[in-house]
Amino acid sequence: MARAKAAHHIKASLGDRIFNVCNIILFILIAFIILFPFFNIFAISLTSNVEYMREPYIIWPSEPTLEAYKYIFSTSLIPRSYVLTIFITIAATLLSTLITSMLAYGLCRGDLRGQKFFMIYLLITMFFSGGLIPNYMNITKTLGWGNNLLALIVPNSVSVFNFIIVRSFFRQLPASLEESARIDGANEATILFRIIYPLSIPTLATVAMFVAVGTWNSWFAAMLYIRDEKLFPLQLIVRNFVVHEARPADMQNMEGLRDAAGNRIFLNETGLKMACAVATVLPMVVIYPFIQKYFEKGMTIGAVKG
Amino acid sequence: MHISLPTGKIPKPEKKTEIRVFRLLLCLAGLMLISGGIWYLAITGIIGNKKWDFMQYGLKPAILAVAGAVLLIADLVYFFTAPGLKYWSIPVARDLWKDRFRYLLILPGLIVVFVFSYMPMYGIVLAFKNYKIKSGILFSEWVGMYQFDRFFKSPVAGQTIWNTLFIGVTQLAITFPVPIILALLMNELRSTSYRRTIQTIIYLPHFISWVIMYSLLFSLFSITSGLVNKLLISLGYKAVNLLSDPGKFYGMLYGTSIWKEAGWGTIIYMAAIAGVDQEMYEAAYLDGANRWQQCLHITLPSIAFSITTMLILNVGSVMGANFDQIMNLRTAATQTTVAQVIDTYVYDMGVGKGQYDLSTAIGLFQQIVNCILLFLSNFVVKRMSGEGFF
Repeated sequence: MARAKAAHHIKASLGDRIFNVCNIILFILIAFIILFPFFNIFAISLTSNVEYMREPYIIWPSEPTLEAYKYIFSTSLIPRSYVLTIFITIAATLLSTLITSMLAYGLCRGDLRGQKFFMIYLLITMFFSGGLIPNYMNITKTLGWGNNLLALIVPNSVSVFNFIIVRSFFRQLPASLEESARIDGANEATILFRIIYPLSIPTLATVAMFVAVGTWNSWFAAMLYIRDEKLFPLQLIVRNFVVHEARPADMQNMEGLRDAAGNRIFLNETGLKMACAVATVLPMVVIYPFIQKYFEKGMTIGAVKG
Repeated sequence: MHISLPTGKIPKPEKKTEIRVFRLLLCLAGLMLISGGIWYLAITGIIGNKKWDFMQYGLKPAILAVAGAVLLIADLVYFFTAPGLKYWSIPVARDLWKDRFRYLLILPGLIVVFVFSYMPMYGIVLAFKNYKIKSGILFSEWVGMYQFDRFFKSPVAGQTIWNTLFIGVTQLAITFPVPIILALLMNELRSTSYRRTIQTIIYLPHFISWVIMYSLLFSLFSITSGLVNKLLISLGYKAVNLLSDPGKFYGMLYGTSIWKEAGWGTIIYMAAIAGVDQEMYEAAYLDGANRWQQCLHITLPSIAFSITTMLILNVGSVMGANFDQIMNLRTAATQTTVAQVIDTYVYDMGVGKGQYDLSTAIGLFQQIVNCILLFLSNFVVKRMSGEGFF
């Protein structure tokens, strides 16, 4: 940043240099505290039962093994849930991004009749909602979406926070853009899909990421509305397994696991839990560095324009 | 399809009787519609399901509401067709037609908000009813403030409210300054690439769920299989029971909040710091200000608005910001004592025990307190800085 450059050509004092070194060490420490737990669950998931039982503690297994992963992906539960969670995430993201951006475009110029009413109509939901039970009754009783994936996809598809982000971006676009297109004979749909959307890809991506991460990480809606374990998203399976110590029905049977020589393989309960956790968190950790800049941007717009 | 509307100025009519009639009828129609609805709602709750006879009790309010709706439509037709109203109706019609595409665009969003945010609000009447599954929300009997009474007179109420406030306030007080300090320190890192790397790492925990957060804690602090405890035991110390010791629960809450969200919280402040005018630092340096003084007198005041903004956001949700966290971190040993907050109590009573009426009442109480807090904090900030959040 410019600040650093400004200070550079002046010789740093001794106190300054000590501070700099301490500061760097502090952040190395912070980085370690943040990264080590991830490293640890990964290490446990790769540890064989024999080693886990033998050693007093394990930082990194001497013979890493993928047996826990082989096992959880050999059950029908985890692979199916994986596909399901990806489907839910993609569906929710597409739906939410589309609906939110349409809403934001419709209300971005502020010249619509009833504009004020619509804005208040939306903002009220930020401060007041039905609450847990009325929402639950609405979805299960009124709409009849109990045990239905729609209950995980549709209800949160309009987020006022995301709406504000997209709207504030649309407002920055020059109005002349639309006007000149209109003069050239483009209809409203063409203007939106051919001109506005292509220009807003970074902002739309930001919002899509927010929704995708939120959906991937959500478990509460599934716990409320889904009764059938076959329809459970990953987070709920991990929650029942790790937090409630209830092994999923599909994993009750751990007989019949053999290695190449035909010997029985024993799996460690903790290792299995951690393998499930790693499998759940992995997509997020892998994708995260690529989407980081979008998030930073989205947070900044959302907070400044909120 | 094309509708041609007259363009240009229409002379303002002398007589304004028509618009007055229109407005009066509009108010009347709205009033009839709403009061018919409320009347119907009230009477069903008084009569109950068993003795319900629509012809005897429900007909009058239904007629009132329907009449209101018919009047509303008729009044709108009158507005757009009456020649005396052209001065008012033609610009409206022209705008509505001109922006028809935009109205179409916002329609799905408005419908989603209506179905998933406004429709549940009707369920709030449960807070004032004695819910019976057979009768449903509509026909369950009105009991006034009975549910609130039940909650406030129960022994758990005091503890639950206290826990909620205590956790909310202490968690805010302890975790709120951390991202600010982190951002200020991060700003002092001289190497840009090192700072970028650190930023990438400290944002990461925000992206994992509290379920995974518990898994991480479990792998480190489980009494039997956690790495930290295993290390402690092999070094000859006693294991710490972090996960289920009620005495350590609050410490765990603060710790995990900081670990998970403090890094993410720096984004706002880093953005604000990046926007500070560099010449101010140079001027301060020439005047002999050291880095600490520069930080105190330039950086901090420059990000003060961001800090207050974040503070309002946090104060407004002080009573229910950590439901997800507590749901995943509480255990059998803590969930009825130190970890019982209003949100979890609503969940336990409502979803766990099926007491829909009671938990709706408690939820409503919490929301009202939340709203008051939000408006109060906004008022304070408005007074202080002249700039409120809404």
